[in-house]
Amino acid sequence: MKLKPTFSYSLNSRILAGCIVSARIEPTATKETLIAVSASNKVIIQGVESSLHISDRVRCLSLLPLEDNRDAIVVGTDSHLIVYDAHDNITLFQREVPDGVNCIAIGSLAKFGTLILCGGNCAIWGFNRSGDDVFWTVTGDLVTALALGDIDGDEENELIVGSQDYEIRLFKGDLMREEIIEIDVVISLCHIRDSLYAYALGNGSVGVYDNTTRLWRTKSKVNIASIMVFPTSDYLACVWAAGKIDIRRIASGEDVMKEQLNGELSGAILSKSSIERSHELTIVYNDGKVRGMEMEQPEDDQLDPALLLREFGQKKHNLLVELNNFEQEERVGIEEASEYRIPANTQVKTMLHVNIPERRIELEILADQKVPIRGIVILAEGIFDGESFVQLQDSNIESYDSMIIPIYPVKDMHIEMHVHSILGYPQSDMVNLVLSRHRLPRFSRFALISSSDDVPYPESKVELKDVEIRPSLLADWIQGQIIVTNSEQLSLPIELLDFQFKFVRCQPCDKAYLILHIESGKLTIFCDELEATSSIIQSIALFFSWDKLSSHAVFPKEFDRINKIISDMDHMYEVRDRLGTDISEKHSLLKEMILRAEDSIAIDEMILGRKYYSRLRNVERAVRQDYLIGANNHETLVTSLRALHKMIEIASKLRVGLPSQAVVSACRDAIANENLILIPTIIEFGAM
Amino acid sequence: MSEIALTRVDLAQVGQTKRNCLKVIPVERDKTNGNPKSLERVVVGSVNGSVVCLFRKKNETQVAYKTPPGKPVEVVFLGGAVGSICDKVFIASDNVVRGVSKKGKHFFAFETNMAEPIRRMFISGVEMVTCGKRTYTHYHDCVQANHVVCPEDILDVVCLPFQSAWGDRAFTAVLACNDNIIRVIEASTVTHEIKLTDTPVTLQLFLGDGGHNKMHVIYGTKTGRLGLVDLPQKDPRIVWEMNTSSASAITAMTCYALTGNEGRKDVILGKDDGRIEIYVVESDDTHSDDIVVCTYTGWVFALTRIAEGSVSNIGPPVHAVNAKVQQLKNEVTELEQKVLEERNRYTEMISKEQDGSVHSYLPTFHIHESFELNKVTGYYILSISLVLPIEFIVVMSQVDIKLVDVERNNAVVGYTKPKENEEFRAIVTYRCQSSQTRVEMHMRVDEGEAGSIMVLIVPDLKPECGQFRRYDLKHLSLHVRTHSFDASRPLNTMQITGQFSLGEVHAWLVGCLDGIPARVPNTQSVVYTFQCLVDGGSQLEATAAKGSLTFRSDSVTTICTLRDIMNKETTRRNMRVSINCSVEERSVEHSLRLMHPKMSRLHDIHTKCKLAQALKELEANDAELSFLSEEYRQILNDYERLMRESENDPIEDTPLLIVYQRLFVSKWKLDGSNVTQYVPQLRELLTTNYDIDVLLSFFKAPHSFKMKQEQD
Repeated sequence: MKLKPTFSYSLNSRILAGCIVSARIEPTATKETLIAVSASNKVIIQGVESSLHISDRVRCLSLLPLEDNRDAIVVGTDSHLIVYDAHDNITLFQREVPDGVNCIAIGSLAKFGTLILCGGNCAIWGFNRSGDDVFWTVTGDLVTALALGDIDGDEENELIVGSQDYEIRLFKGDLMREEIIEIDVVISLCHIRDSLYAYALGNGSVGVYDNTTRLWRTKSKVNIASIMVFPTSDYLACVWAAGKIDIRRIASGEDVMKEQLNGELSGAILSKSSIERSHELTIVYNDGKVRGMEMEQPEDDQLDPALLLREFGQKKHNLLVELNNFEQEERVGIEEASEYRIPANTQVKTMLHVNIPERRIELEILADQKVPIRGIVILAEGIFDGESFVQLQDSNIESYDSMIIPIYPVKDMHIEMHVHSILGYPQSDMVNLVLSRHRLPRFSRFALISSSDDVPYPESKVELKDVEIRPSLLADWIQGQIIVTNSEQLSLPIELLDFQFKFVRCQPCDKAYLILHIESGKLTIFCDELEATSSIIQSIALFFSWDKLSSHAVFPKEFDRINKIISDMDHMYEVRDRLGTDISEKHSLLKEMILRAEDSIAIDEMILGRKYYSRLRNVERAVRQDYLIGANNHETLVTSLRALHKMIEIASKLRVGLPSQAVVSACRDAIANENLILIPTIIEFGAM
Repeated sequence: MSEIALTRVDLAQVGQTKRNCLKVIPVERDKTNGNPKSLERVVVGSVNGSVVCLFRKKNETQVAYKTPPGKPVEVVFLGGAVGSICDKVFIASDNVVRGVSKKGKHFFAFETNMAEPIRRMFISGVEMVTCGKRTYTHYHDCVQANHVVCPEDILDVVCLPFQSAWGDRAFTAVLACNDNIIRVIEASTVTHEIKLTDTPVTLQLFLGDGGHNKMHVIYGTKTGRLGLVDLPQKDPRIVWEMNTSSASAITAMTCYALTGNEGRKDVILGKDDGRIEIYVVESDDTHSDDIVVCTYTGWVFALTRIAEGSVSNIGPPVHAVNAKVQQLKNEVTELEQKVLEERNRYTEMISKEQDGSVHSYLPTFHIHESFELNKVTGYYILSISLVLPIEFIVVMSQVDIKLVDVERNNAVVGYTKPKENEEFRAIVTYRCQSSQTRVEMHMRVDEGEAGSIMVLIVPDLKPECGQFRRYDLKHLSLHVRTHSFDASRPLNTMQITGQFSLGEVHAWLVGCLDGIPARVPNTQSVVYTFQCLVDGGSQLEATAAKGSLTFRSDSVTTICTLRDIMNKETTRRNMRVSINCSVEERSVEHSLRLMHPKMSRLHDIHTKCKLAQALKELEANDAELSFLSEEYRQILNDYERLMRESENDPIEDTPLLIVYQRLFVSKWKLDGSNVTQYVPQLRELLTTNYDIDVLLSFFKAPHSFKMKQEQD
């Protein structure tokens, strides 16, 4: 496979990363037109002299297909969504999205029909063709990527949402179905076909998921600019910001082609330079250069024969080396070997356990036969900075055949750890390595303590309704979700009805308790951490396949916070509206002042001119002041909105199924009707 | 630089090889039409001791012969009667030189009287030269004629061509030595020493025969410089020296008329980082011969120059390739099966084994490594290559190091935050992508502290194993050996006298400076000179003799550091010595002025960067920029370059700051006072409003300087 350049031109302007689309502007057009956003915040249309000015900062760009075979330009800004028809030169509609539009996905979603979905701050807004606000739901954090695709094969699209809290969520309508925890900000999503979709992270990872199973991932030290399906449906083209392009097989991630371009890229899209032709890969450089490329032999799946030969030759060589090693090792005499070789039957035990007095998780490594452990290398995503942890044994310590590594998880997620223990005598430079794999359960942060321990109950709690559960059954769930050192604690008689599972929170978090309190089948979760509580509920519900669950939540501190936010929010809206009119008023005053001042000078009235100029200075200062207040106000407003959305999201996750969905729609109605005061009650009691 | 399109054609995979183990056997050409009478053959010797001779027929590699394995092949050289074509293959392995016939049979074996393996060899007619680590021996018709023991390691050898160079001159050989010297040996005496600024690694007769007077030799150095020396009987000289495209060691060199016509040969270089460079004297496209390359991992391939469009012709026909691929596939499957069996057998052995008498297998793998200071950037470059794919590498350093991003490096880098009070201050993991066999890392080091860097290398191999490697950083790690010393600079001196031998002094020097021979010289006293890479080029001269050691340097920092080391060293050994320091006041100003150009350049870039950012914004908002002055337009054009430069060496984090800081502290330390409380003020002076005069007055009196500021 080889990329062949097809066309090249320049937009003569620096281009904003990611804000590039290829559209059919005219109904009769025979080719697609490139539309991009310049660094100076203008929407540039290829081949059109004048550009579209947008007062707000543009964050993203998309296309809405219109009826007569052409596209309208959809622009997402800091506070608005604008749909513009370039052919007729009219704005079709403009809607306010106060938390900003970070990304846009357009397509049909369940019963809503074609939607323009906007990723905001902890919320997703959906508008239909005529601009009606018909869809709204909440999610965990700032939405950084959106994609639509039929993941579960029911011929209705699901929404794939990537967010800043390292998660990929799958939504069916406005209800979250699945949650996948990744290890960095999701910066790009791309639906491939059926249940397959690709993702890219802020740390340079790219991979493909099949529903919730990851097929493969690869990492580079640079960030991805765009991912897309190209040149055929079996391949994924990854375009990196540093100018690298590689094409990978979707099924295996194996790369079939690599190419390095010179220069930083803003992004890449697929476009058609003529309607009859197939898609071309269009690369846009930071400085506005545009290059088109197509695949030379897209049909020929055959690798370059020379490469293939080399690959096999290398494989053969590596295998020969290994065989040779075995042969050589057999010849080594016992005398020679005993100097620095460890006994062949050396066993290395690695285990995870919880040190309750110290409140921390420890990984213990033990080697038998007094074989020294020289050190340890742990490779794991999402727990250490930089995905690796290395510790060498201090040579002064006596207990040379064991090591204890404290582990501090900060997020509630499963973590796969690859533990390489280094074995060998200190006088030797050659060492044996033993690899063991460990899975850190999702709620490892909580360590089980005896139910007879007298610990204070946290003041916050959630009572689960509609379901009944026995302690012995809940023990099964606990078994898989935390590190259990003493499993006797969990073997409970089946007829037991009342029980309290008590947990202490491990370092690095502050000391606190989690109590799962069961009284005649009613489960109440006592925990001060709202988010952790919601994750626990979701996990339990999944484990027992509950499809419906409502609850009563009491979180005094959180409720105080949300009440304060709600009461402040009214004021913020008020300030914003007032400032808006103020500023425009002062703007016209400014213009007037300039005219008068210049007029005075023209008629030699210097004193008057001076007066106008000093007044101009004062007004200008006032405008600036107002602007500053406005900007600060907007920032606080966005933060408050975010907190509110986040709270609604968690509240919905304290329930399962319909009750969960009802919380979101009730909150949405409350917001739409400007009746925010209802929200705390909805959060507490649900909306049934 | 002109572009020559070269296409890679793999010839064979022969296993790990050493340097100088590949030769192309020239063929006799028909006198009438110049066409070769037979096919050219490639001969290559590998570490497993086997010598393979290959030729290409119908675009497929054919093996002419393959000798049975044995001791590693150290050198492959071609010889032949003087005046005829050199097509006899000579192989050196261990201390034996063998001749291999066209059929692959030994027709000649000569056991030298060397006590170590032959490392380098040169053959010309009946003259044969072999070199060990430090010995040089010349045999005339297999009878020892000359023998020299060199004071430093010999890295390469060539002999000047016989007939034309001699006259009344004895047999002349040229040695590249580890102490940055090219030594000329006539008969059994070293007649000339040509001092270079860098370590020569490879030597080659210029244009293959020594140039017009047959006495020119080209050399390639450890940091990628290429030079030419002229070596007549009197007054040898360096003709030229130049940088090549990267600062990696030149490991192979040959002269061949690749692009030009005969007599105007090009210089082709192979480098440690895998680059192949061709330096052309004249360019006109007539020939189309191939360059044959052998890599450390054992790939032998040809780079062939073929007009665009005929690429498909160089490989064998498609069906042949498919057959070949199939054959290889089968072989690989078979091998995989075998390996699997062995693995199972091993696991079984481990599990059955009870009494502990059997030991685990610990596969050995060879590591090709280098840890060198790059004189241009001032970074240490650690490069590691294996014959196997690398799984991961862990670097642990006792001293603070900063890793600089290398473009060609695609390993995933992970940092581990070291715990407090831990031995290591920086721990970095490099996880390699599939089938990567080489990793190169650039490290920024500050002078003053000694310590080692431990590296654990883990290859992709079963049973899993690894090797630790250790590299030492000395106290004055950024000083490099030079051959000259400017005594006219203001110099600070430190003298140590006492009851100690030259051997002890020598050991101290080896402990804190790089580039000093490990052996104690045989003389009464010895002088070494050095230059520092980071502070604008301060010098150091060390004179050692029995009972006395004198350092002279224009940098107070260096003297102060050395004083501390020597104090520690002598106290540790309970030695009674007297240490005398004399500080030359003017040297501080001199040091500051030495650094001034670098510092002002940094500030210049920094200011321009700020301007460029502002200008860029202007450009973004208004396309019409004709009103800008020439200077500003230039800055705008250089935007990318400026940003890159400032990012590579940001003013807040430049190594220069440390240099200033150390100079400041050292100066006052030698005066007996502690000025660490003024260091933040110094930093501010340097990073915000750099002015050399203000700085000078600050260095003279930081206490009163503060007063002045307050008065303002």
